[in-house]
Amino acid sequence: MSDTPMKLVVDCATGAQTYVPLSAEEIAEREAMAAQAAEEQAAREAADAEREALKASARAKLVSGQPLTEEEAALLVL
Amino acid sequence: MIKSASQSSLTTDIKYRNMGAANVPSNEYLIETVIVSGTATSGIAFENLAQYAGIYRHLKIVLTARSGTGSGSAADMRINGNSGDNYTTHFLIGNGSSVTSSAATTIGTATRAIVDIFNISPNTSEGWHAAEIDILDAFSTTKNKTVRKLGGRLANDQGITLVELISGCYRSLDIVSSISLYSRGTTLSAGSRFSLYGVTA
Repeated sequence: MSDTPMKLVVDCATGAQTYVPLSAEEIAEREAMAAQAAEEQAAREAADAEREALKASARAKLVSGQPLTEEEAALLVL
Repeated sequence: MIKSASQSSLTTDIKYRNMGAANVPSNEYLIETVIVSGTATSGIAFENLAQYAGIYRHLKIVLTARSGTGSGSAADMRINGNSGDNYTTHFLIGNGSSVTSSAATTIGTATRAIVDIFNISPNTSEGWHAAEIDILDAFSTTKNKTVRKLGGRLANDQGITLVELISGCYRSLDIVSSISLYSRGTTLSAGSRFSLYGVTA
């Protein structure tokens, strides 16, 4: 069984649906984009985790009456 | 004994394709539906759309999609197979406790596709991504094409549910003759569905 990625092409003039193997160029572009997407996903997750940590810290400080840092205060939407 | 009878005021027979808002007849007409059957499908392409110029004003894709593996990935859109620097994409994403907005300046082939137009979340029961993608003024020869997407998904590998509003622009006065949606990584799960509708004015 071939592992070549396929695209499902629909000819809207006839309704025919055909599985077409991706070309070598399409596969190469897809692999490059996948690698880039993985890096960006990791960066986004790190940024999200940092933001959630700041929010948790800001929340805890509000409850205990401690002063917030500028970064923590910027997370609050009034 | 019948004492009186009144004639019904219903004098017209209108067929409703669906019960749209305000009970207005729908202006959306199904062109094609594809359902992925399980082959290692990494993309969908609707071709030969030029025939609908003069019939429809806009195009709409309604989809439910999921990864065929335990990994997820984003998927991009190209119009007319164009891979030049002709696209812009913006995002508004909420997770229930915060909302972020951004523009695709570094994502994937940022200006060479409508990027992250939908996501293929991991192959779990919650992983189905549901979305509507509108391609506005698809057959205008005097307007660039505007793309709008509203959908919800499971964040890839994170178990967090996201709601997304995406706007995109394809800077071309050419009519839309083909639309391709392609994954940047994982393949689509069997049962992933893409329906193309034509929308009248």
